[in-house]
Amino acid sequence: MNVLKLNRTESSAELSDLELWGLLKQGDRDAFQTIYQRYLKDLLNYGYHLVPKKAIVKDCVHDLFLDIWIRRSRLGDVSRIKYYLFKALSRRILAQKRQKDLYLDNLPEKVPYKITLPFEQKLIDRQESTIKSEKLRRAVRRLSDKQNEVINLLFYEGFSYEEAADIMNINRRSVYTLAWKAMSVLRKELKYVADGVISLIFYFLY
Amino acid sequence: MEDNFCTRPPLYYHKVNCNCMKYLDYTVEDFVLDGDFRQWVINPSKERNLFWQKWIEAHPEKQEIVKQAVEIILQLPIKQYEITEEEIKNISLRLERSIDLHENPSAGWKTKTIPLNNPVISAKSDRRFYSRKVKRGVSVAAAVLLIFGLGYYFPLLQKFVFPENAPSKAKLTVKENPRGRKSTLFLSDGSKIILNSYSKISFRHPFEEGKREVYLEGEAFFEIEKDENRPFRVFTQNMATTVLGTSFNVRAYPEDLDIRVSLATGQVRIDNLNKDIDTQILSPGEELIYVKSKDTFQKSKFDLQEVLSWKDQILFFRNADEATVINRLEHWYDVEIEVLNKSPKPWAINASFDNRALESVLRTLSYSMDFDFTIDGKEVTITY
Repeated sequence: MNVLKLNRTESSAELSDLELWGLLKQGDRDAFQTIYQRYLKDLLNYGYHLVPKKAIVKDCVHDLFLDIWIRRSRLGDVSRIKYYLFKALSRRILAQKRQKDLYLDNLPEKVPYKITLPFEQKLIDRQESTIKSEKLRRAVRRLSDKQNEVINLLFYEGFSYEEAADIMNINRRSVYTLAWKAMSVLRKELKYVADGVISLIFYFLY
Repeated sequence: MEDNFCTRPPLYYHKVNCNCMKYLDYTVEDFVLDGDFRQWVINPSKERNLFWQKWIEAHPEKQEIVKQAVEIILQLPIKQYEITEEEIKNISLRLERSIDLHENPSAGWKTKTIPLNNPVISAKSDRRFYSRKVKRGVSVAAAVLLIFGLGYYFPLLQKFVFPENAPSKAKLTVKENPRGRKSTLFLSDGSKIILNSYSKISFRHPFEEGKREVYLEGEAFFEIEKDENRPFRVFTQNMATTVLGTSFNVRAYPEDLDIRVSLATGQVRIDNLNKDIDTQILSPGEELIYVKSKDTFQKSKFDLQEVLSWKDQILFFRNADEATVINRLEHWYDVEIEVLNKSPKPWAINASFDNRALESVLRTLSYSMDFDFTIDGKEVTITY
């Protein structure tokens, strides 16, 4: 590990998480920068799922990275940095939330959000799909915070059930149940839409 | 496979280990939540296509369920919070600052990284403090530093890591003036910076591509060469002043209660780096005052002569009180001024001293304010 030195001109993107983390532990500030810049946005987004208050989430993300830097030499090996960061942030925000619950609602600046499609919208030119999209979007707004969080972790951030469970600090069964219920809401929403698409599936098959 | 089963409702526990079999009891929800299935929908490959094609042919009754699952996956909406690039940048900046501060807590005004060609020994370091005497300059500075310590990070310039993480071979250049010295810098882009005494400026030289960024502690006057592709930015504490081509003055001494940006010509934009939305545009003749304790901006008109005369070697006062005058003199001439007794009347000095020696300035002041003074090297005593 000692021979590894992050060269600024070489891309640190090619390093594995374990190598990047190793450099950070040795005090390589470039490696540290690479890490936080890669995950800042996802972490903020995830944090807002937990508590949609800018000030709290930003403070927590800031403190998380500052802490990592300060304690870098004592950190363990991390083979999936993203997973580590999400878990650490979740713990931090939940602790804050517990502390601040009393006046949390009085804080201003709720974060604006939008309901987006993470995958390429292959049905974009089909008229009925836009009606469905709209229905689904509305359904997502009705989902609970926890359900939204699960969907974000599983479908957007790409975590496994095990990882999502660990990050959210609940068991895997609960993760699955939450996700299942969320999907149920969406499926029921779809049902109400005129059942016009027949050949949809074959569009993908052939 | 065992692993997979644990995450599923008990319904599937008795199923045999064949992937194809387990799907028979799947509901729409189960399909959506199934990793393999989702992979096929999002990222179809030949094998996956083949597998599912066969499976659906073998189980035509499942077609409707599969269809719905595909639809949900493809149109699965996700609640995403809106995060701007600006926000990301600000939080990066804040983080870098905190780390700099942590790494080098004593770094600030007095620590230095570049040797001065003509070292002027700081009078402050080996100074003895006499508690009985009123040391106005010192006491003011101490009080303000205390406030500082309570709530403010200040950027530690020589270690500032630029937020963009752009690979750069450029060295960080630091120019620092001790008290009693001013200097003029000419940058490679044709811009000119006049750095006041007791001030420090740092920047990457040559500038990184697409930007011109400098970091200032203290006061400087900028005459910036127009370059629309490379906005010129001055970072001070938690404020950024962005210009396209213009001349303006920035006063940001750590011990001051405020930061002032005074615009002579052109246009500048000022961002509060602590906040996401706090941006001000200045027009010529306008001055922006950032009140540190309140973290807010105030806009007002400024007196061109009062603010800018320092760069022409003119010590200029307009309606200045005692603390202001003494503070200015200490910086300007690199002296420590002790005031004994109290002034019988409040100071309100209006004066312009063009390149004058300290003694001459003090003599003039002493006539109007009615005091005696002695100059002993770097120590000045004023007695009423």
